[in-house]
Amino acid sequence: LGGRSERVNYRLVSTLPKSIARSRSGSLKHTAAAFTLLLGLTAVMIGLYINEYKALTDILRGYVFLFP
Amino acid sequence: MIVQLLSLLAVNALAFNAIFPNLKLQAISFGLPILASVNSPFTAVYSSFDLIQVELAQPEFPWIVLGTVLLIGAVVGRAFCGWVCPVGFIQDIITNLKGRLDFVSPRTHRSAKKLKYVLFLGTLLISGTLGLALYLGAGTAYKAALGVLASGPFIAISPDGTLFGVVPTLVSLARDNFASFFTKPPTIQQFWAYLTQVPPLLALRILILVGFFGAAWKVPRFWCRYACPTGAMMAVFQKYSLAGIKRDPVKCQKCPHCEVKCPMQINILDLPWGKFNDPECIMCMECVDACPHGSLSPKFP
Repeated sequence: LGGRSERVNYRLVSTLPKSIARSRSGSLKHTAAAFTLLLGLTAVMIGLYINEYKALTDILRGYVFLFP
Repeated sequence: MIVQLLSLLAVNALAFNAIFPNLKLQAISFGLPILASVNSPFTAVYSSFDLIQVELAQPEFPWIVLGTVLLIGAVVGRAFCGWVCPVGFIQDIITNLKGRLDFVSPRTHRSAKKLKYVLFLGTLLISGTLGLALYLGAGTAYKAALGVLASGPFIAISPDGTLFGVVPTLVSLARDNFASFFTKPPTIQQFWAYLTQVPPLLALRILILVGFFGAAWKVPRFWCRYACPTGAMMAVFQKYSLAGIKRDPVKCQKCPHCEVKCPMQINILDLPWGKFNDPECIMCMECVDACPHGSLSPKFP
C-alpha cells in the first residue's frame, strides 16, 4: 500500500466526464476555506485586542430606534 | 422547523421581558449572518449586516463582526439562512400554508438573483464611504444629507425591522387609542388627513413588508433568493465552505425529486458529482430528505 497505488491517476481523471473531474478539485476549496478561517480568526483577535466588543455595546446602547 | 422556531424565539428573546416582568434578559452585542434588526426592541442577537452598517456610521471598523462572518461562512456557509434566520422561517411557514412550491422561469431567476448583490454592494458603498468620510473628518455634511439612512441604509427599510420593530410600535400606539377610536370614531376627512401625514419612509417600510409577504406567498424564499443582502454576503463564502452536500453518482437516478423540493430553485442535477457548494444553497437539507434513492447526503469538510 502507499506510493503509486494512492496517487491520483490523472490520465484516468482526464477521461472521466467533466462533472466528475471537476469534483476532484476539492482541495482548492479547502485551501480557500482554511484561508478564510485564518482571516476571520485574525479579525476577531484584532477586534478583541482593541476592545471592540465594549465599543459596540456602547454604540448599541446609544442607538436610537429608527421609527419614521 | 423546530430548530427554526427555537431560533426565532432565541433571536427575539427580549420579547419574553414583556411577558414575564421578572425576567431581565439583555441583548448581546454580537452579530450572526441572519436578519435580526437592530431596529427591533425584541432582538437579543443582531444581524451581522446591521452591525456592520451601525459600526461604519460611527465610524468604527467592524473587526469582530467581519471576523465572525468569515468564520461562520468558511465553516457552514449559508446554513444560518436555512436554520436560524427568523425571516427565512416566516417565509417557510407561508410556503407551508400555501402547500406547494411554485417555480420562477429559469431566465427570470438567473437575472433576479443578482438583485441581492446589487443591494448588498449599494448598502456597503453608502456605509463604507460614510465611514471613511467620517474617519477622515469630512463626513458631517454627508451624514446630515443621508438623514435616517446614515445609521444604516438597509436598516431603514429592511422588512425584519418593520415586522419586529415598527409594527409592534404601531400596534401599541393603536392599542392606546383603541377606546377613543370607538367612542369617537374619526370622520373620513380626518382619516384622510391622517393618511396624508404618514411619513414617506414609514409608508415605504409598510409597502416593502406587504410586498415581502406577497412575494413569499408567490415564490418560496423570495427574499432569500433575490433581495437579502446578508444572503448575498454569505453566498460568497458558501462556494468555499467546509460544509456541503454530496451527490453519489452510483445511487443517483437523475430523477427530479431533489430539484422539485429545493426552495432556492437550484438545478442540483447540473452540479458536479461528489461534494457541491452552490452559492444559493442554504443547506436546508430538503433535497436530502426528498431523494428516494439516498444519493444526497451532507458532507463535512
